[in-house]
Amino acid sequence: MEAKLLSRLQEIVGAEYVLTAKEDLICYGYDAQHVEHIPEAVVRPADAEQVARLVLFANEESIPLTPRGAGTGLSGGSVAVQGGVVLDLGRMNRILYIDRENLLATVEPGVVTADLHSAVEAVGLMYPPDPASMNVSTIGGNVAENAGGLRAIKYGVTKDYLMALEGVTPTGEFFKAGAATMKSVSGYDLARLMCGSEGTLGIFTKIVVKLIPLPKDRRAVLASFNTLADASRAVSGIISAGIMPATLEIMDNVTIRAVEDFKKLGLPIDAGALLLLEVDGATAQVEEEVAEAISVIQAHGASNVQAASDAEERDRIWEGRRVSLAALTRVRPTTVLEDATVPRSRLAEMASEIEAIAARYSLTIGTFGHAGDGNLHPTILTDERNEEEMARVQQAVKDIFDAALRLGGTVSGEHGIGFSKADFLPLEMGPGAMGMMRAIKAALDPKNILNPGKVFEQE
Amino acid sequence: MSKSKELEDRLEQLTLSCMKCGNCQPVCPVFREIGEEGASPRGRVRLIRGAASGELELSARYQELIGKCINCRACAEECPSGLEPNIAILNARQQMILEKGLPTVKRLIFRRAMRARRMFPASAKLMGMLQRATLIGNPRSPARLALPVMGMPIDKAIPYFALKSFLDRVPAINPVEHPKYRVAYFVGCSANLLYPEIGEAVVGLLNHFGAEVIIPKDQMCCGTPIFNAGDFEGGAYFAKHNLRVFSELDVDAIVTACGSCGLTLRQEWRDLLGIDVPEEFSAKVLDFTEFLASIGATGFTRQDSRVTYHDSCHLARGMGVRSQPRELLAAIPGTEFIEMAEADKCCGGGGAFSLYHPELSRQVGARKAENAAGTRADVVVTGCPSCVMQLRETLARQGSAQSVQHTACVLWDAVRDQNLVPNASE
Repeated sequence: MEAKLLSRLQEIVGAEYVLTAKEDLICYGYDAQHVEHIPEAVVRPADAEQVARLVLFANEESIPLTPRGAGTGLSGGSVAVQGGVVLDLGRMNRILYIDRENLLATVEPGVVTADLHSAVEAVGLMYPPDPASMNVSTIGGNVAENAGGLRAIKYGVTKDYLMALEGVTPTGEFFKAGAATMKSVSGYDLARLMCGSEGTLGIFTKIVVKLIPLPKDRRAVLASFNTLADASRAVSGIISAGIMPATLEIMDNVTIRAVEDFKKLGLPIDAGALLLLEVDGATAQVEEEVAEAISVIQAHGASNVQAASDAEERDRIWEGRRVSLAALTRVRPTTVLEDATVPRSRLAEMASEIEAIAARYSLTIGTFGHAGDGNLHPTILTDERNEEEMARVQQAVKDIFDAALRLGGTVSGEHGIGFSKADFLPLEMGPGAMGMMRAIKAALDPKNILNPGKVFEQE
Repeated sequence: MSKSKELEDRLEQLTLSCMKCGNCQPVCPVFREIGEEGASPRGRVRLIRGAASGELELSARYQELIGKCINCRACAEECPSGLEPNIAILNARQQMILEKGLPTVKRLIFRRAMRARRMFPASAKLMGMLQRATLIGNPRSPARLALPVMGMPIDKAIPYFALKSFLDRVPAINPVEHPKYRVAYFVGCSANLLYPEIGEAVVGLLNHFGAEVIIPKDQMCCGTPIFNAGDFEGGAYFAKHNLRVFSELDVDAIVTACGSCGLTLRQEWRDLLGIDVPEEFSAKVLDFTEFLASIGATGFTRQDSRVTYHDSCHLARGMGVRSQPRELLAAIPGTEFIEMAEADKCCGGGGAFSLYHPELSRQVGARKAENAAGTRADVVVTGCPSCVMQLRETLARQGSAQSVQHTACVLWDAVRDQNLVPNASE
């Protein structure tokens, strides 16, 4: 980047907060998916004022600007695919206010999700969205990606907790969206539009989220099945029996073996699949739902089912799920993690499709995920240094998307489109919706400054 | 295969399975202060891979980012893929030295001064005399003007070198009547040259609990500060020397009172430096609190005090010693043990790290000092002399009235009066 432009950036945020060394730029070229694009500069603004000035500057000079939280995304959302400047919001990381009367928290975008969890749990409240990356990810990034998590089946995802936000438009103006009231039908729901906009429609500088009372009790159940399809049918059984677990997770045999190899938790390595569920609420209700869930699971042919007797056993059960992805990554150097999601009733069919795709392309696919909400994470184990195999991986990914769409699902449950799924989005959306989205983007960001190259397929 | 090719392959292996999840970031004390991706374990792992593949030169910025790691091992503990970014970083420092050579000052210190078995303690003594003559420990001493010239803050707390090193004070064999155990004590540089009272406390305690203590006079530095700077070859010299000296002894245990020394003897000589250390040797290396706990040390004299405990990184994450010092401290009658928040988070000391990166070291230390203050304990106890030095400085900077003591000194105080015959320490 030209010295003249760099000095303008330095004027805005201070020289200390502009990074231009190749070493630094490389470190802002990745997220948790495996394709990298190295930006030309990184800026680390301190407040909304600086953010607005940076956006104005980028418009004047027609420089792409890519907002970034913690860089834990799985679809390339924070990767500067067209170069330009990465805008690191990590310095804006204060929890401004926890409002116990209105059950709201007001935070800056760079607050780490788990830090918000601890802060509100300390006063008996809960912020339910719990993406697996929550120890690292930021609320700003979660809103931009509309992050999900394990508890989505009962509690919903980030959009269900976003009340209001303040931000900067793609042309550098301040704006507010949403309201801090439980009800508000004033105007278009811009907060919902911003949620999941992947940094293409605005940069958030202040976020208000909804909180709920922390459940008093919780209990975990572990069940093994002979096949992934059996376990998937049990999921439908639990849902249709009216039981609403806080989490309902599934692991296939590839994942079970990888986890057991990694952690030696005593998981049944011969099981075709495991279901892990947790019920929370008042103690009596928890007891009742656990008993019901166990009987439904037994009726669906589980080979074994047990409730955790104490917190230690519960933690051991969840440890297995928590380390699933990590365990799979140990098997091969590269993992390609997808998040195609289907209606819950079609889960068993999707599981069989994934197994067939793995066989078709001679790939190892470990499948685990949020069975309770139809969101599986087929994880292809591969090696990015092997071009021939990576080509088969690309084919398999396409087939997974096709299968999900055929079953009435979506190409992304919670990871976002970014650039890695941009080519597949039109298959799901169709020309009408794609046209509306492009029109919105063009209206708000005429010069295509904010996070270009995302969401929409490139001509 | 050439040495540098071999190292490049090792660097690739040490970084290959990073899935960039970032779980190492929130636990990294340096990233927490700086907030830049390049100053996080994930960033460094990516850079090291770049340097191994030839994508990156070993530039000044590269060296700076690779240098800003305290080797606290928190990232390794957290990494779901089982990577050890800290180990990759030490190897990356080795790559820098293989390609760029060892800087002259470090060469003189690591390869000359520290190998001179007589001259090294003698120069420390000379340094101690000079320090006392110039009153450099005094915040108002004009001698402090020399500190910024050496790259240190003018208000740095300066511990005095001992006028008589620990090894010059004690006999090689410290016998007891009817010994139940025979142990060797690996002293380490800090206890030998800066804090001989720690060494005396260790010997006193071991004697008190029935152990004859052998202190080989020709022991040297364990090698930690040397391989931490990337000089693996230099570190190996000390490893081999000490291994020879201690292997000859017929002892039940080789005891240390410094997390870094203990970890290095037990594990890093073999795993990091690739030295052929017999398994039975490694198994004998114990932190003195592990040894005391294993023999059921008890019967302490009442000490009315409120204490909290800071886990040294290398003691807790390196050697796995967490419960033993806590249980020993809590076993002292009248002593109230208060757990501090984030007890096992790095204090920012990191041995020479606090000299190379004084400001960063202080920033990390400030958080530790706050957590220590939050306990309202009278004494902050820790098991590593380097942490003692850092905690004393950071607590003093915050105007804290808490004192900082090594675990050995606190425990020795609680048995000392039971030893009628004055110990070697007197």
